[in-house]
Amino acid sequence: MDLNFSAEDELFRLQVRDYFKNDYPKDIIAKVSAGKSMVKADYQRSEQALAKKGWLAVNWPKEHGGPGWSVVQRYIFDEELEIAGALNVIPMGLLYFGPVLYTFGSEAQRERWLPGILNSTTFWAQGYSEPGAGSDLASLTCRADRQGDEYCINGSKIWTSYAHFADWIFCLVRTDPASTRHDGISFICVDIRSPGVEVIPIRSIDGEHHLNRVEFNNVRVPIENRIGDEGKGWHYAQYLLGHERTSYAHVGARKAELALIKNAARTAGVGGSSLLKDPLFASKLARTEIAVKTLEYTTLRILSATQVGAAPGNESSILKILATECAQAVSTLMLELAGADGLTEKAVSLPLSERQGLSGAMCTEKYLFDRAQTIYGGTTEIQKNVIAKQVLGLRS
Amino acid sequence: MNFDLSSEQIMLRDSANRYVKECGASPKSTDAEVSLIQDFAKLGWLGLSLPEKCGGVGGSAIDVMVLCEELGRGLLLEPYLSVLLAGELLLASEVDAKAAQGGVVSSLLANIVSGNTSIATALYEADSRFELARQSCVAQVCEQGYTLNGTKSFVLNGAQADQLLISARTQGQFNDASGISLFLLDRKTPGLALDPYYSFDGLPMATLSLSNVVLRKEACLVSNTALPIMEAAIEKVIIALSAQALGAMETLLYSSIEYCQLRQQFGKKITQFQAVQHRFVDMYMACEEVRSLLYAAAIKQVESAPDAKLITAMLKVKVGEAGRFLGEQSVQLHGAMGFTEDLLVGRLYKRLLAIDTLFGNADYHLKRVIKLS
Ligand SMILES: Cc1cc2nc3c(=O)[nH]c(=O)nc-3n(C[C@H](O)[C@H](O)[C@H](O)COP(=O)(O)OP(=O)(O)OC[C@H]3O[C@@H](n4cnc5c(N)ncnc54)[C@H](O)[C@@H]3O)c2cc1C
Repeated sequence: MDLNFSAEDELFRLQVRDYFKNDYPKDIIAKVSAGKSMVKADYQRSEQALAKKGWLAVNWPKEHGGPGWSVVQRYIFDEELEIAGALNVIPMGLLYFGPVLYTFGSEAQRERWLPGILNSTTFWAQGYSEPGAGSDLASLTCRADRQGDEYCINGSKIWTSYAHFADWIFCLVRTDPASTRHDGISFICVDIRSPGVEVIPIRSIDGEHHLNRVEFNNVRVPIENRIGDEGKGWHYAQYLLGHERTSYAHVGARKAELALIKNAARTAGVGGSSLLKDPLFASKLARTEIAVKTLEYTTLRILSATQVGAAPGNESSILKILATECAQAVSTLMLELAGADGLTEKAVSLPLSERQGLSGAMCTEKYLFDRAQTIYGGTTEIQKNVIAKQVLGLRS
Repeated sequence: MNFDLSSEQIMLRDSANRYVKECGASPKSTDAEVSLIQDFAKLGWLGLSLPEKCGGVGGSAIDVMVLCEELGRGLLLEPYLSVLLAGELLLASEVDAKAAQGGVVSSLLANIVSGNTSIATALYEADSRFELARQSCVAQVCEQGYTLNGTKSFVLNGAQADQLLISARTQGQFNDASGISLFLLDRKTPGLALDPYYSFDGLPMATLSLSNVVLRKEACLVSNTALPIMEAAIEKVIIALSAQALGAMETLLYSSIEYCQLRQQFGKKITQFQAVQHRFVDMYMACEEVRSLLYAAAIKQVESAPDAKLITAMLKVKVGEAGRFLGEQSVQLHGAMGFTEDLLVGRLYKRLLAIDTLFGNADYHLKRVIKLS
C-alpha cells in the first residue's frame, strides 16, 4: 500500500500544470470562471488546443491516437485541467463513442470517424433515451427497418445533450421488430443533417439549453453505419456506459469549487466578516471536504484496481453515486454561501467577493444544474439496484 | 386542545382555493401584479389582518395562514406578503404617538387595504446576511428633518410601490440593536433610485439606493427603537410565508405522485417500486411536520405566548429544510422530465428555495433557536 504518486507521475503533474498555466487559451479559462454560457466555438477551440498538444483523447490507447497514458496519469491530467479552470471536453465523442469505435468498429469506420473526433472537427451526440425508455432503456422502440442496403429509422430520442452542436448521433435502435428487450437492438451512427432528422431544443431548470429532442422520420442510413453486429447493440451500449459512469469523478472540479467557496466565504459573513467563523457554515464546509476526500480516495482505489488489469465493473455504479452526490453536496454549499445573493437573476448578480467572480446567481444555477447529476447516466436508484443485485446478491 | 379551522376559516380557504385555481400559476409581468392587487383588495385579503378602523377585517395570524396556504398551493406570486409586512410595521408605528399625528398612518393603511396605494418595505442590506441589526444605511438629522444615504437590497415588490418603508440607522454602530429608525417615503422623492429585477423564482424585487434623500421630520415613523418592531413584523410574515411553502410542498408532493403513477418503466408504474414509495412517504411526512409546527407557531402568535418567537424560528428551519427536500426529491422522481424549465415542478421547487432564503434561511434561524431555547 502506498498513497504517493511516483516521481514520474509528480513530474508529469508539473508538466500538465505548466501547460494549463502558459499554453492553454486564457480567455476560455476567464469565460468559464465568469460562469458564462459556453457556445460550440468555445468547446471547439479548447478541444483543438488540447488536440494540438496530443492531449485530447486522453483515455484512448496510443495506436488510435491517444497519448497512451496510464490510468494514474489520466487522473492527474483530469485533476489539473479542472483545477486550472479549463473547459471539460464534450464527452459524447471523446469519452463515450471513441472507445466503442476503436473496440468494436470496423477498420473503415475507424478511419472514417476517429480523426474527426481526435481533432475536434466532428461532434457527436448520444441517442439512447426515449420518451418511453429512460431507466428501462431496453424497452426502447425507435426502429430501424432494413431495406436493401439501408436502414429506415423512425422514432424519437430525448434528453439528447448537445445535439444542437452535433454532426453525428449514435443511436440505439430496434432492428428486430419482433424483439422486445435487449436482443434485437443495434448501434447505428446517423448523420444528424440527414433528411428526416429534426432537433428540437428543450430548456432546463437552470434556464439554459443543454438538452434536445431528436425526431427521426423515415431517415435513411446506409448499413455500413452500424457498429458491430446487428442485434448486439446492447452489449456495446453497456460497454459505453461503463466508460461513461467512470468519467463522472471530477475530483479536480470539486477541489477547485471548494477553494472558490472558501475564498468567497472569507468576506461573506455579516458586514463582510468571515463566514468561516460561523460554526454552522464551518461544519457544513467540513462535511463537504470529507465528501470530496472520500471521493478522491475511492476514485483512486477503483482506478488503481483497473490499472492492474481488473475492468471497472460494478465499481462504476459505486463511483457514479458517490461522485454525483459529492457534486451536489458542493453546490448545495455554494447555495448556503450565496445566502440572499443567490436570489438575484443572472444579469444583475454581483460577485460575492471582489477577488473572483463567484456570483450569487452562479451558485444558484450550479446548484440547480447539479440536480441532473443523479439522473443522467442511469439514476441513483438504478445504480443502487445494480449494487444490491450484483454486489450484495439481493434479489427482489 | 383544538386544531380545527372555524367555519369562517374554511370559507376563506375554499374561496382562496377557487380564486387561485382560476388564476393559474401567475405569469411574470407588472400588469399581472397590478390586477392581482385589485383582486386581493376586492376580496378583502389585503386587509385580512388589519383592524376594521382602517377598512381591514381584523383577522388573526391563523386567518393569514389559511389564506397563504392556498396562495402557495397554486404558486401565486402575489403582492400580499409585502402588504402584510408593511401593514404590521405601520400598525406598530401608530402606537408611537408622534407618527399617529395627523392620522397619516391610518389613512395610508386605509389606502393600502383598498388597493389604492401600493407599498414595499426595505429592511435588509447586501451584506447583512439576514441580520436585521446590520443597518449601514444612515439617516442624519438635518434642518428639514433627516438626510438618508445608503443602499437597501432584496426589496420585494420594490419597483412597483408608490410608498416605501425604509429602515436606517439614526444612532450607534453598524450592528447595534438600538438606534434603528423607520421612515416612510414616496417613491418619487429626489435622490431615491430603484433598480428592479426578478428573483430566480420570478418575484419582482429591487435594489434601492438613497443618495442625500431629504425627508421631513414626520417621515420618521419610529425613532431609534425600530428593531423589535421589525422583528415582530417579520415573525408574522414568516407564518404567512411558511403557510405558502406548505401549500407549495403539497402541490409538489401530489403532482409528483400523479406523474409517477402514469410513468411506466420495467413494465410497471414506477410507484410500484418500494424505493419510490418510501421516498413519497418521506415527502409526505415532511409536509405533516411542517403543518404541525405551522399551526403551533400561528396559535402561539395569536396568544402572544412567551415561546412564540422560538416556535416561529423552529418553523422557519423546518420549512427551509423540508422545502428543499421536497423540491430535490420531486425533480429526482420525475427523472429528466423534472429538469425541464417549463414544468410546474421546477417552478415550485425554485419558489421553495426562495422561501428558504427570504427573511432568513434555515441556518440563520437555527442559530436563533439555539439562542432562544
Ligand atoms: C442533463 C441530462 C442530460 C442527459 N443527456 C442524455 C444524452 O445525451 N443522451 C441520452 O440518451 N440520454 C440523456 N439523458 C437521459 C438520462 O439518461 C435519463 O434521464 C435517465 O436514464 C432516467 O430516465 P428518465 O428520465 O426517463 O427517468 P425515469 O426512468 O422515468 O425515472 C423516474 C424516476 O423513477 C425512478 N425509477 C425508475 N425505475 C426504478 C426502479 N426500478 N427502482 C427504483 N426507482 C426507479 C428513477 O430513479 C427516477 O427517480 C440526460 C438526462 C439529463 C437530466
